[in-house]
Amino acid sequence: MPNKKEKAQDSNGLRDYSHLPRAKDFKKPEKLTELQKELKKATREALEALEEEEKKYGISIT
Amino acid sequence: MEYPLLDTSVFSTYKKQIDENFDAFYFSIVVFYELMASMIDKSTLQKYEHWLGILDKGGRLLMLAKADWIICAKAVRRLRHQKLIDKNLSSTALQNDALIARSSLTHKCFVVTDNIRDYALLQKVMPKLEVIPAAEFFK
Repeated sequence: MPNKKEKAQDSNGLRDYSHLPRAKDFKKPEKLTELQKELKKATREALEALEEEEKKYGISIT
Repeated sequence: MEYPLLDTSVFSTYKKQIDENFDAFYFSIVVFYELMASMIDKSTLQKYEHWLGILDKGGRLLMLAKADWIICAKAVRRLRHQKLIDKNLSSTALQNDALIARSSLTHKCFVVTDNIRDYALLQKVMPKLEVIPAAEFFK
């Protein structure tokens, strides 16, 4: 059985993330609840506002 | 580890992907602190407060307790003690990353970040912490 250090890296010595899900693994809900609708709208508005601030003021979120 | 928790570092580059997967993520209150503290326009700040409220209502906003702060302080101290960080590095240098990492550990999450270096450091003192580079997660 591989030890923790070996498990964390692939055969090329790079860190192995294969056990973690990816964005595409999360299914999008077919029918949105009221809260999901609110969340979708609020997420979009917040991200658009961030983009505007980045353009307007040259701020950088890191 | 089941749920992705977004680090602040992903917001500038991955807006489209976050928007497309709006229902997939968890957020630490620390990330909202960092975002809101960076905002200039009041209207933007209000949008983040609104988003924060909805996430909280949906159970997607992760808060920290007294014990979490103490555990994080001890973790960063261990890094210093093991000479993995400079002894003169500010005590707040890794604070927010450690708190975000702690949030992920206590809620079966893994951190999605563009700042893999600092989280890799924290993994040395938080061995169960799971982190994935944003480029890999959104690929």
